[in-house]
Amino acid sequence: MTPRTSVSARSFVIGSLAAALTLTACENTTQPQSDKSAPATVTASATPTPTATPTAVYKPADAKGKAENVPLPVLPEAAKANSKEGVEAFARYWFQVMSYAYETGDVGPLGKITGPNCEMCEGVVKVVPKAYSGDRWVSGGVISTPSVSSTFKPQPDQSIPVVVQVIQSKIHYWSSGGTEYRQPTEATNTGNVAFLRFVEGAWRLDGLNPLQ
Amino acid sequence: MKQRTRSRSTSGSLFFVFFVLISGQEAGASTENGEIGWTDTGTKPMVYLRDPGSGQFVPSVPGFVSDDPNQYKAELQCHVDDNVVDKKCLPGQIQCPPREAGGKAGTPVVWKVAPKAISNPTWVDWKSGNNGPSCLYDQKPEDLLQRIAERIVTDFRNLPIRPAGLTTQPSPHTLKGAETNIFADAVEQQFDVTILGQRVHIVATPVEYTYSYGDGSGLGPTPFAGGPLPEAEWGQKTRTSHVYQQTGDFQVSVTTTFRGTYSVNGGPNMPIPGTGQFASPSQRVSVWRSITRNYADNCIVNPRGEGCPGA
Repeated sequence: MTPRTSVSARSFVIGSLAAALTLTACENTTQPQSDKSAPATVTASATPTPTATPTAVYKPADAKGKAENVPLPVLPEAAKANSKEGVEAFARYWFQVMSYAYETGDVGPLGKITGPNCEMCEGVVKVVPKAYSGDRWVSGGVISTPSVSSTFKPQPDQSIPVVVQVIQSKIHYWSSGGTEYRQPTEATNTGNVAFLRFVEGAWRLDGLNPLQ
Repeated sequence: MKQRTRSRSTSGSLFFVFFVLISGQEAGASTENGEIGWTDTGTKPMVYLRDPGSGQFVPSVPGFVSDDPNQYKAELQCHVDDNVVDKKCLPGQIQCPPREAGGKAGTPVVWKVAPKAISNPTWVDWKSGNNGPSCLYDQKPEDLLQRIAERIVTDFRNLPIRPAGLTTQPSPHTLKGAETNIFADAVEQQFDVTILGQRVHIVATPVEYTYSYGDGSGLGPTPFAGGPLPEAEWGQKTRTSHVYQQTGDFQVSVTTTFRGTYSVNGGPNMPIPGTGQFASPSQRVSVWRSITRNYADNCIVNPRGEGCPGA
């Protein structure tokens, strides 16, 4: 870890100069920034104390690189129960795992908790790794579920519907050097219905559709 | 965005702009555009609706015309309550300069959007197409949108909306007992009007048709406008065709139901509650009878036969 830290610290000095320019170019800041302030920022961040950067600190993705140390969501104990509260907790957890896929490009954990009948999930599993292929990555795309509710009344096919509000933040598409290789995807705020099944003692999400 | 314009003076940023143009073209040409937002991964899952009776979730029928899934509300920027202004908020707020020289400045509003399907949803900021501020110009901006909402359906019904064109096949004469194809042709129409001093953009969309055939029968309201048949297929049954049982002249007419959305000073397109009915001028159809007779001879063999010159 030590050699890597020093290398990244050195490249950080060079990187941050480029990044300072790129970031100002892309951020929609309301505060006008004078061009002279950019070198000043670089000097300030050029002397980071090595001890101040612990190994497992979460850092979201940006123009400089992928997100770092994204924690893999842990299945909460409440999400193991075959109950209204259980299915709601699991639905929340499922979207956290989807958010993890967007931040890391790793769709493996999502696939493990998803049933075979979810078209929308298959789409995510298929396209997200493409945005992380080669020297590419994305920033944003983080998902939150401010509203998750179920009546726990089964559908005719015995799946349990859960109504979920899903907010996904704006996605920027990056390739090496901090270039945006395509237009960003605007943030979305949608109403959805997820269909879950309790199979062999665990919940699986087996359908996800827009709800109107 | 201002920052980006400024930084174009550096060569690196020029390259950046150039690159975006190229990749934009590539995206248009390829089938996969690299879009990964979870709601748009290329799959088009069926929209579900909540059945009010059973409380169950049902897939929408094929051909379901999706309404706007969102609801909107506007908040006066920096206004906490009636006539109370959050002073801390003021310096960063968007500006609404007067619309004409000597006019009064407007009140900035922040539009919020949330999915309709969620009860007590979390609202997020709505972004206008031009990213510009949304402004209201009124002495009492607090309830201006409410006042517009209350009268919008009346204003909508008074718009000069062009009704459907009406065509009958065959025309103007058709036959008793035969399928007469009757169809409407209406288009979406846009209007820019001023309501209570605000610029309101209205989009009117035809959604249903009610046909009256003039012989006491009719069809609809139906979502089907019908459509033209090639001449070789005249007489075939269509979704909007009609069989006249009597000869005579009949007045055929169609009334088109339009639904609308409205946007105030560049704000989101909001649904107009209710609909407007717009009647097309009626058309006369003459229904004739035809008699079919079979003959063993032609007029050379039997010049006195019915319909022959010597009869």
